[in-house]
Amino acid sequence: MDKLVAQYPNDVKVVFKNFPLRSHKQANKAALYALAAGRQGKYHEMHNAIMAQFRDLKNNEDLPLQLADEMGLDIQLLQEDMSDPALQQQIYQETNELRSTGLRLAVPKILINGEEWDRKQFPNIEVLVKQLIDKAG
Amino acid sequence: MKSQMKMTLFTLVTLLLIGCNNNEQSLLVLIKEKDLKIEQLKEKNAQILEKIAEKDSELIKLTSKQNPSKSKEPQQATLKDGTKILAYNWEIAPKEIFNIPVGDSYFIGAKDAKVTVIEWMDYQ
Repeated sequence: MDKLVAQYPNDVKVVFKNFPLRSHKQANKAALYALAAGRQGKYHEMHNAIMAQFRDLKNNEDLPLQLADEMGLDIQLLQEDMSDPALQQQIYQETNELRSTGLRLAVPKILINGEEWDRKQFPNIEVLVKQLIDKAG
Repeated sequence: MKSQMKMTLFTLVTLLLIGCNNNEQSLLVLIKEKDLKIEQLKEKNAQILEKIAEKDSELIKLTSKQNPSKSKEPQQATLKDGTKILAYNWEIAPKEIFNIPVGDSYFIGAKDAKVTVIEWMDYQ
């Protein structure tokens, strides 16, 4: 997704919404860490850092704390923000948005201009996005 | 006599409490059974949706063979609130277009971009 935005910085917007699966026990906490990092202006950095090490998260649910430290975030503030109910509320809101579509609840789930990305028909998202940009003029 | 009455009362209260406890346990069992049924139904539902998706995909392939010139052209589509957008799959297989707001969600790229990609994900 970063590549897509880097390629078309004025024409593409990528929105990240959480859908922590209940079967993935650390996922919700990791989502909270990312949102809390966002309050210090480091959402995307935290998002990418967790994604890069998502396998390690299984055995260490507080891995994002270590990552936050490496990013130079205020750890105490991060932990305070983590317990702010507004962040959990945001996750519920984002989760409910996907539920409201009635689409299959499997992630990652991608909508492009409101339409579910058909990976079988358009395996290359860059080609598809380029086509939509060109058509929009 | 008085102690007998106390004893009887005590026994009755104990039986009532045991009854309540058993009742609570049976309710919890009932809730678990319902949860299980809901999960099973969700799973069945997901399987059905997957089959429908496969059929949709077959339909798209067949339709695009019949009408190759239009198969991959983005088309104008209108959301329920009247917003006009470009939908890439509209003409060959009209699908529902979802108007999901950005809201408080984080995003990268231009605020007024021509193309909006929304990704739901989890970290595991």
